[in-house]
Amino acid sequence: MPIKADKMTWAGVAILALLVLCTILAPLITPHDPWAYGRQPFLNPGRVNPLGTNDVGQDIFSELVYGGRTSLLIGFAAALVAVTTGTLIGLVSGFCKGRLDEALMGITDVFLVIPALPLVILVSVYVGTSIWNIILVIGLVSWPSTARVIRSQTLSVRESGYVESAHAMGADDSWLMWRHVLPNVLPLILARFVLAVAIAMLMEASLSFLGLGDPTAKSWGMMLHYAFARGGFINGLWWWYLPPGLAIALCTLALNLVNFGVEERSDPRLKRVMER
Amino acid sequence: MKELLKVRDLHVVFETPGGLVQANRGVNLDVKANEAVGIMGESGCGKTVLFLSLLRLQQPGKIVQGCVLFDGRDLARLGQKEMQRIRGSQIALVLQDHATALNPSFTVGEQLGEALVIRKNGGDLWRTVWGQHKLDDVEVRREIDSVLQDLALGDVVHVDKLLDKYPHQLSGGMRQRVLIAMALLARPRLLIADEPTTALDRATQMQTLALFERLRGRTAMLIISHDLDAISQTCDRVAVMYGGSIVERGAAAEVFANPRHPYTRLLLSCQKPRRGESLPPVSGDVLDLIDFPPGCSFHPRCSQAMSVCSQVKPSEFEVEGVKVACHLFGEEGRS
Amino acid sequence: MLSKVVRYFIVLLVIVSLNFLIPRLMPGDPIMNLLGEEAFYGSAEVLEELRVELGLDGSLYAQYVRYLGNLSTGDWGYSYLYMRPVLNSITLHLRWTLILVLPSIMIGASIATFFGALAAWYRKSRLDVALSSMFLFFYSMPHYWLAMMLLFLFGFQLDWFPLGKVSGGSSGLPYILDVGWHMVLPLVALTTFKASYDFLIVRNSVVSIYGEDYILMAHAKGLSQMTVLFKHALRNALAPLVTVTAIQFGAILSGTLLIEVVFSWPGMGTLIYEAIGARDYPLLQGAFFIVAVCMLLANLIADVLYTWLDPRTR
Repeated sequence: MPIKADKMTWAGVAILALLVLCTILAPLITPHDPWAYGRQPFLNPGRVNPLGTNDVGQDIFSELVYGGRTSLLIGFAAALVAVTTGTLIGLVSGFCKGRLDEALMGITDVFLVIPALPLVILVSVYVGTSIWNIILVIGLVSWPSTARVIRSQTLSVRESGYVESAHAMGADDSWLMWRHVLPNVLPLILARFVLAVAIAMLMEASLSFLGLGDPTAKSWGMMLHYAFARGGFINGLWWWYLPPGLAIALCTLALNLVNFGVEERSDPRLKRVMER
Repeated sequence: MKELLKVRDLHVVFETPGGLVQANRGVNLDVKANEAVGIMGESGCGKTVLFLSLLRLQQPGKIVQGCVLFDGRDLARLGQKEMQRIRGSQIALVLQDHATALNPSFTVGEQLGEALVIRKNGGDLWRTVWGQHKLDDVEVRREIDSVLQDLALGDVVHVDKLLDKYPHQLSGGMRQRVLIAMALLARPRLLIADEPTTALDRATQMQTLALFERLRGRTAMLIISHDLDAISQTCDRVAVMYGGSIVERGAAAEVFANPRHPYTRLLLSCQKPRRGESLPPVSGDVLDLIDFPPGCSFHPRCSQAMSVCSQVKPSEFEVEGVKVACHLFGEEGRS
Repeated sequence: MLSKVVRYFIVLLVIVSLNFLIPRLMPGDPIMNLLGEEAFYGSAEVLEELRVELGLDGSLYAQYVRYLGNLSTGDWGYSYLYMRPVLNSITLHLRWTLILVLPSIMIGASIATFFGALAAWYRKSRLDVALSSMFLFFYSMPHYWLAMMLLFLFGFQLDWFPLGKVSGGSSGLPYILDVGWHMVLPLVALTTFKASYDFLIVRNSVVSIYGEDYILMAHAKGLSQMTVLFKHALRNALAPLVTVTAIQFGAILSGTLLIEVVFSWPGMGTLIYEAIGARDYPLLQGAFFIVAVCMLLANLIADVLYTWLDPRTR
């Protein structure tokens, strides 16, 4: 199944690429080390500090660019965990059917109903707030929806004509799975991955905002947390809390554009005429 | 009898990812006020687009040429608001797939009642909702009852129970009758029925055809079907369609007894092979509605094609009351 | 219907069990995990007494039974942060969250339905592109950041709305109006969040309904475009919307929590925020439990509504 992409997708990819590039090139772009306690705190934007300084005198602009690395890393890594787990479970469930399917889907359904962020908060509070913990926790909370969707797709592909006929011709299960089912599920997996990155980034930002982020790392969410908790908001220091929020918004917008552009674009009324 | 519907040189095109599809290429058709006309043809010949165009519901297709004269007015040039007034009350439609033609979320009674409301108040949002709300149940039931009785259905099922049911709770035959009743409630001058028997089992087919026979003479009908039996039983005249245009049209009895166009002959011989005979093979490929061969659209598959057939598209020639679009009956053919 | 109730019951059991297991299985001394950092300051004897009192000396199973007993009698532990039983704090804060959540769901869904239907109907037109872009933009931004911007713009700069909390303190009708005035900005933020998500769902739903035969029939009967859209098409798009709202309820609730923090709105969000800061574990556990139960209820209601909306499921 070819993936048709249009302008929206490419726009999204472009924005994303630009942002990733900036974070990779962080040492080249930023004037200061984000961890350096050089200057006075709460400085307004100026020539030395393009976005001013935070509550401990660190350069906000440098924080912003380096923070992108953390936020993007957590987003992609957590999404990877979520989608891999979800896909495996969904594939096995949809392919093998029977009791295994029922059991897996039972577990999945239960976790679908439990609200994600509160669960993540609860676990994080005990487990601790290192980056890897955050990645794991977010990932393990997000797999159910992917599992459900992949399972549906697997089921319908499995029931489709050519899989049945391949099976009838004597193909064994694993060959069927890799050769026939997986290629048809792949576009869906990619779409879910893109979505999962957006969700993971937002979740990390939310966690950090509430104070459960990794204090040893800088992320956009952590910037928002400090901006809010250390008086940046009350004092109207918009150059502190607007940029990280904007960065997150841009990222998620880009990711959503990528997904949005790959939808069915033909007029549904055409099918009435074309099928004849 | 005057012509109620006159279609002249209708061209309808669709833009698709694969190219420009010419669904209708110069269709000519006449329907008189009280006659039943059948349109016969295989899948892909353009008959669906044709009847949709009569109602201006052919979107995303576009009418690029020709006219659709209904009672003297050209429907192809009317605005959507005016078309809205014509649909239902002047021209009504009965769709083929009874399972999907009714809204699954409304009861049968609500949908039948809606047809009445439109007849009284028009189809605008507030008027329809208000009118439906105010519709006197007794009145609705009386009228629906009379329509259903008319279609000899009143004794089959109790109208009261029927009205409270949802479409998915009815049998296919019952749904088909509901669709027909819904169309008739609007008291249209022209009734279009798209493949009315295709989605039914044999017994229900016979019942439905009997139904249409009863309607004959009371309202003009346009019956689209690929089933020869259906058309011969219900229609006064028939039009055979191929490759986006009408290749032969005339009195049904005459066309079926003496098919003149090579395609019509082929079509009829496929329908009723005599015992012992095999179906005749048809040469050539299925017609591609994007890349048309020049000249007559049928000539690549025609055993009697002449040189002019690949160059000039034939116009309609009249032969003993039947109009045939074939060069065999034109000057080159007769000479 | 019975199987659904059973399913919900199982989920409830899982939530309760999770709540029980997580603090006891996590790294660290369970006493610490259960009582919070305050427990640090007790002497060894006091800790031992507490251990017995909390039943931490018994088997896991015995503890579980005790826990279930406590839960059902309303003993959800004691909050060191607020100096009162956890259940009290929660009931005090829950109402403020619900005051925000419920209206925003209704208003958000209504806005989304109306505009989503229009955008779908006039697919690819300028209206559609404008609406879709706008809603997609709002969908992508962190909602609490939008809340911050709203507060900054309308609160700080323009001074049209108050800067947080629920009321300046009054009673009777003035109180209600005051609360309402304070409620405007957080409600706008939350409604935008919900509406932007729903818009995409409704639009997709209506676009796929667009090609259905019964829509063609509705047109053929002589109904106007608006009638076909808002009466026939929309009616069939409602059921999926209800399902989505249920699934999404967790996200809405989570969203409310964060927005509350921005506005210092005394709901569950502020509760959780402060509990995290003080590592008040009993409070957090109670909060998690109630949030999960709300989610469960929302799903149950949605299931019932769905059956009512789609006659084919009856």
